[in-house]
Amino acid sequence: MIWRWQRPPRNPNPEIIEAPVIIAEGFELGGKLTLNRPAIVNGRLRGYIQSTAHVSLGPTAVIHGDISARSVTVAGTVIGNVTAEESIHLETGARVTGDLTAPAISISPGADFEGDCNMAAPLASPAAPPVPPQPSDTPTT
Amino acid sequence: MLARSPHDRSTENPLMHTTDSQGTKNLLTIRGDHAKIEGKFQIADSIEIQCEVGGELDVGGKLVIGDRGVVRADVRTVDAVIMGVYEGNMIATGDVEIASTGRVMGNIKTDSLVINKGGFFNGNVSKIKDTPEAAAAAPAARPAASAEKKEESAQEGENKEKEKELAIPKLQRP
Repeated sequence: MIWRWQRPPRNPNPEIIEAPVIIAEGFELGGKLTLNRPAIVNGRLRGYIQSTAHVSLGPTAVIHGDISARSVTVAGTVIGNVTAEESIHLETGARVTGDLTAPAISISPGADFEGDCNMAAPLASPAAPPVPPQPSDTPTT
Repeated sequence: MLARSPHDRSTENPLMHTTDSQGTKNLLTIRGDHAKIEGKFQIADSIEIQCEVGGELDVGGKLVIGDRGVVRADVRTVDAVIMGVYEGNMIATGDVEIASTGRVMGNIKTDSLVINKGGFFNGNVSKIKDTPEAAAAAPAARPAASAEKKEESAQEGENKEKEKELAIPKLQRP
């Protein structure tokens, strides 16, 4: 028998390693999920997720509802809007139908996305208010 | 390799050129830092744009908007790689990739979109597959349903008429 060393999966976000799985695969939950620590969702949720930390949706996750978090990684299915303060990443196999809003959004090859993509920083002012025109034609004297 | 000029950078990126079976580059490039061209362009093959282009583009292959390219046009293409700036409405039957330097403002109709980290995109993404099927299926379903309803209503009407025919003679009797 050959013992084969398996390389541990490379995790781009180290804080996810400590993140608990909030809804495990095969479980379904309805309602609002409020989180303040990084979390992984692998099950089904009908409702919405509000988090001040990172939310990772596994390949088996199916979310019917909106997600609002600091940063979101999606590998499963989301039918709803995703808003993040920092970043949204759609991994290969992700299926998102809804609007994405974040300063940084990346979509991997093989991810399926349909909706609006809004990368304007949500907290920053979208545009400087127009400067009122100076009365240049009035006499300076 | 080390003495490659900055203008030769297109050869470093495999996306920047297409090669035929003999390995020679065959990508038409429009280049010019201060050039601005506008109009309706029909390109049978692939094209790389390194200047400012406006109007309408119909590309039969891959559209590459280089990092110095600015395209403000409605585009129909197969594949697209955006490393520069793109504004407008794009329909791509193949793959669309927004590179890390790419900035896109507009709507993209494609079944395959990739946004690399750092890439900027403001706009809407819609599927090509859904729309023709939905467009074909929805009117097909609705007339069928309405036709059934019509048939039903026609049958009801016929029944009513029969009833009327049965009823009217009685009423019309002097």
